[in-house]
Amino acid sequence: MANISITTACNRDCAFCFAARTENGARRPVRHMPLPRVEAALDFLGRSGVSEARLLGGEPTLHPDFGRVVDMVVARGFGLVVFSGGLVPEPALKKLETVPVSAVSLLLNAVPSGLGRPLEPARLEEVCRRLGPRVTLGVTIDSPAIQLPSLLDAIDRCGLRRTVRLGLGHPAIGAANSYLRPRQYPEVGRRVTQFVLLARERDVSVEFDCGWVPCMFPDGALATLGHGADSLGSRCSPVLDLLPDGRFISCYPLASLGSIVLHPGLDARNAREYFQDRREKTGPCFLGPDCDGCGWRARGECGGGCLSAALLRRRTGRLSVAVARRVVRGC
Amino acid sequence: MAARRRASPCAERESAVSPYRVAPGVHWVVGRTALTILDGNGAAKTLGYPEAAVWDFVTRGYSLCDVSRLIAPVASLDPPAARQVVQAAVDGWIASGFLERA
Amino acid sequence: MHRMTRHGVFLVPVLDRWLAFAPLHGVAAVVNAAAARDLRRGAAVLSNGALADLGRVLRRVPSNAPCPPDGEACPPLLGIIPTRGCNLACAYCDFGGSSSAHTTMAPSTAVAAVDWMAQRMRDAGRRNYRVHFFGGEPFLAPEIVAIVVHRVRLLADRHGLAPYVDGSTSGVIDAGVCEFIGDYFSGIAVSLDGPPEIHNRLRPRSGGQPTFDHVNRTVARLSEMPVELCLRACITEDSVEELEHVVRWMIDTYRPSAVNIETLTPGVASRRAGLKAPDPYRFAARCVSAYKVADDTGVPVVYSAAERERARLSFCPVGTDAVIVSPDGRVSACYLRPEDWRSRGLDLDVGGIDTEGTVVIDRGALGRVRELPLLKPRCARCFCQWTCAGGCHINETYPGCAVDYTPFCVQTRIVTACLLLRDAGCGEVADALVSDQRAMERLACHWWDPFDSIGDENVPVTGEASPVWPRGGEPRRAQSGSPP
Repeated sequence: MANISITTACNRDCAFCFAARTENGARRPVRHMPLPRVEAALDFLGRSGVSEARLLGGEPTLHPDFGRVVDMVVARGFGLVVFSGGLVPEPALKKLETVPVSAVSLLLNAVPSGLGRPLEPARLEEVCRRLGPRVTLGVTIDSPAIQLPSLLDAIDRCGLRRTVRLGLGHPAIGAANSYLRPRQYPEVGRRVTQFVLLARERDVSVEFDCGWVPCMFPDGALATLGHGADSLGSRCSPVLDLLPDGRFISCYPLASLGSIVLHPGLDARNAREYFQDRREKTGPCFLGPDCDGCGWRARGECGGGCLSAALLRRRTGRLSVAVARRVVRGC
Repeated sequence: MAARRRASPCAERESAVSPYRVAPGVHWVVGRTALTILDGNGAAKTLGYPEAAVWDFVTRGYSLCDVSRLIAPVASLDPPAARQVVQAAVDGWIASGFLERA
Repeated sequence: MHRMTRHGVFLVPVLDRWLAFAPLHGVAAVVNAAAARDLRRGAAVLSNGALADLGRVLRRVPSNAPCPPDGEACPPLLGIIPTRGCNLACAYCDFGGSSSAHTTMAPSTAVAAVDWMAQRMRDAGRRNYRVHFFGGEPFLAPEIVAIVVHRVRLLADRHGLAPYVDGSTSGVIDAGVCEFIGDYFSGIAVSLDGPPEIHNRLRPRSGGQPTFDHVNRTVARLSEMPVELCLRACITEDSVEELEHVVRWMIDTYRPSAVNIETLTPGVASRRAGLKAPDPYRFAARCVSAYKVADDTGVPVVYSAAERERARLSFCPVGTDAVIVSPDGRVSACYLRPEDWRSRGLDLDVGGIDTEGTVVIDRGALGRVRELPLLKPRCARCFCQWTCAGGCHINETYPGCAVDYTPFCVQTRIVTACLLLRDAGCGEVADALVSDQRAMERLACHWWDPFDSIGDENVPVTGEASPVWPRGGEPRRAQSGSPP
C-alpha cells in the first residue's frame, strides 16, 4: 500500500487535517504533482507489486490534470482509489463516472465530527448519487461528538457501497491539528460499538483505519465488532505517502521522522524498511501509562496505537527553571 | 555566648540549578510505575524506583543536594545512603550518554 | 440520635405522571396515576398486565445495598493536604487559604500516610491504591506532592498495587508542575468558573489580579496530556443563566474528560462579596440543559449530588473509611477545616500519627464517623437518599439541621428526577418538567417519596404536596396532604 498525494490544493478546511501544514506548522503551499512524477509513482507501484493507486491530497480531484491521472491509472491496470472530501469539481466527477464501478473507489470523508451535517450538503449528495456504489463513506473522528447513524441513511438513499470506514484524528507532530486525545478513546469506542451494531442491522460493514486499539472498546465489545476487530492494535506501520514534490514520508502525522526521495531504484519494501528503522529509533513508546502491563500488548496483539499520539508523551531535556530556582529550605 | 548555627550543607542551593542536562536526542516516557529513557537510536532503558525519582528530580533542575534530600523519604534512605544512590545513578547516566554536564 | 429508616422504592410526581425509582434494583420507570395506584395495590394486580415486569423486579430483594464499613479501616482513598495555603482569594472561599498559614506537611508525615495506606491495601487484599491531593492549593507544596507521588509509585511497584493519583487545583501553577501532573497523575480537577469575565470576578489572586489567562494556559497544557482532566465550575446566581453556554465553551475549548458543576455554598466570604447561590429551580433547569451537552459532545457533565450510577451511603468520602491527612499530621475523615466540623458539633478526627511516625486509627472515632451517614432525618423521606445521600455532612445534613428541604435539596431532587426520566427514555417528560414551575415545585416539595413495600395500601398516592416552597420564599406547610 502507498498513497500518492497529487496535490496540496484543497477546498475544505477540516480541523483534523494533518496534511494542511508542514511539520513547522506553516501552511503547505499549493503544489500539484507534475504528470511525469505521477508516471514515476505508478512505476514505483508496479515494481512494488501494488495493485492499487491511491490518490490523496489536499483534494486530489482539484489537480488540474486529474482526468489524465485517472486515465494513466486505468490504462496501466491499477485499481483506482481516491480519498476525497466530497466537493468534487464537475470535470473530475464526469471523469469518475466513466470508470467502471469495479475499478474505482471514492473514499469520501463525510460528516465532520460533531457538526451533524456536512458542509455543502447539496453538492455532496449529488456526488454520491452520481457515483453510487463507487463511493465508500468515511469519517475522521477527532472528538467523541460523533454522529454516525446518518451515514447509513446516506448509503441507502444514494446506493453507496455498503461499508463505512472509520478513522481517528491523529496529531501531526509540529502541526496544531485537531486530534482525538487517547483519554477520549473509551467514549469513542463505546459510541462506535453501538454504531457497528446498528450498521450490521442495516447490512453495512464497518472498517477501521489505523490507530484503533483494543482497549478503546467496552468489555466484550471486540466480539461484537466481528472481522473489523481483527486489525485493531496492529496497524501503525509505515503507510508511505508520496508528496507532490517527490518525497516519501512514513505518513502525514509522522512527517517529521524524515523523508526519502522517489527514485527508480526504490520500491515499497525498501522504503518501508527505511521508515521502520526511523520509527524504531524513537524507541518503545505507547499511548498511555496504562499500556504498561497491558495484556494485549504483552501478547503482541497491540502495537501501542498511533505512534504520533504516543510520541506526544515523550519528554525532552527542557529544564523547568522556575522549579530549579525555587528557594529550598530545610535539610 | 550563643552557639553559632552551623551552615546547612545545602545553603548554596538557594540559587543552585542542576549541573547536568539531558543529552541531545534523549527523551523519556513516564509509565505506570517506571520510567523509560529513550536514547534516540532505538535503545531504551527502563528505570524502576528509586532511580526513576532521581531522574525526575534531576531533569527538573534540582541540584544533587536537593535530589538527595528528596530521595531520602521516597526511598526510606538515610542522607548518606540517599547521596550515594543519587550519585551512582547520575554517574551511570553520564556514562550511558543520557546526561551530560551543563 | 436515631438512625434514619432507609427505603428501597420511591414514587414521586412528575407532571401528570409518577416516577417509580428503586435505586437498589437499578430501576426507574414512568407510570401514569392509575399504574401508580396499582403498584400500591399489591401482588395480585402486579402479577398480570403491563406492570408485571416492574412488579417482579421491585419484589426482588436487592443484593447490593451499600452498608457502612466494619472491621479495620479499609480506605477507598488516602487524602493528602500538603498545605492549606493558597495563592488565590476566591470570592466565595471560606477556607481562608490566602490568609491561612502556609504550613507545609513534613516529608515524614507524608511518607507515614502513604506507607500506612499501602499496608492497609495489602492487608485487605486490594490492588487499587488511590491517593487524592486536597488543599488549599496542594501544588504550593510541590516537593511534598512529588515525594508522595514517587513513594506511592515505589510501593505500588514493590507490592503489585495499581496506583491512582489525582487531585484538585486552582490551575494557577507553573509549567513544570503542569508537566509533572500530566505525566504522573491519573486525574486532575481544575477549578474554572467560566470565561474570563466570570472566572476573574470569582477567582482572583490574593492581590486581586486576574487569573484566567494563567488557568487557561494550564488547562490547555493539561488537555494535551494523558491525565484525565475534569473542569470544575462553581455556579452563582449571576452565572446560572449562562450555564449551558459555559459548559459547551469548556468542552469545545479544552476537550476535558468531564465537567463538574456545583452551586455556590453560601458563607461569610460569599455574602461579603455580594454573591448568591442560584435559584434552585433555575439551576435545575439549566443543569438539565447542560447534561444534554454531554449527549452531543460525548463529554460527561456531572452534578455530583445527582450521581446515580450506583447506590451510596455517603455523598463524599466521609463515612467510607477514607483517611485525610492534614499538614500538621492530623488524621481525619474530612478535608474541611476542624473549626468547620466543630461548628456543627462534629469531631471527624479518626486518628493520628504516633511518636514512631506511624498512622494510628482510633476505632471508636472511626465507628462514630461510620455512623454519620446513617443519621440523616431530612433524607428519610427523599428518593435521593441513595444517590445524593444527604450531600455534605458539614454544610447540608449536619446533626440538628432542619428537616425541611433546602435549596440544595430542591435542585438535587429535580435534577435527579430529570436524569432518571432521561435514563428511562422519557427525556421529553424531563424537558416538560423543567419548563413547568408548579410541577417542579410539586416534585421538589413532595412530602413522602417512599412506599415501604409494593401494595402498601396505607400510604395513599396523592397529588398534593406539602410543604409548599414558593420561589424565593420561606417554606410553609400546606393545610392538607400531611404525611402518614
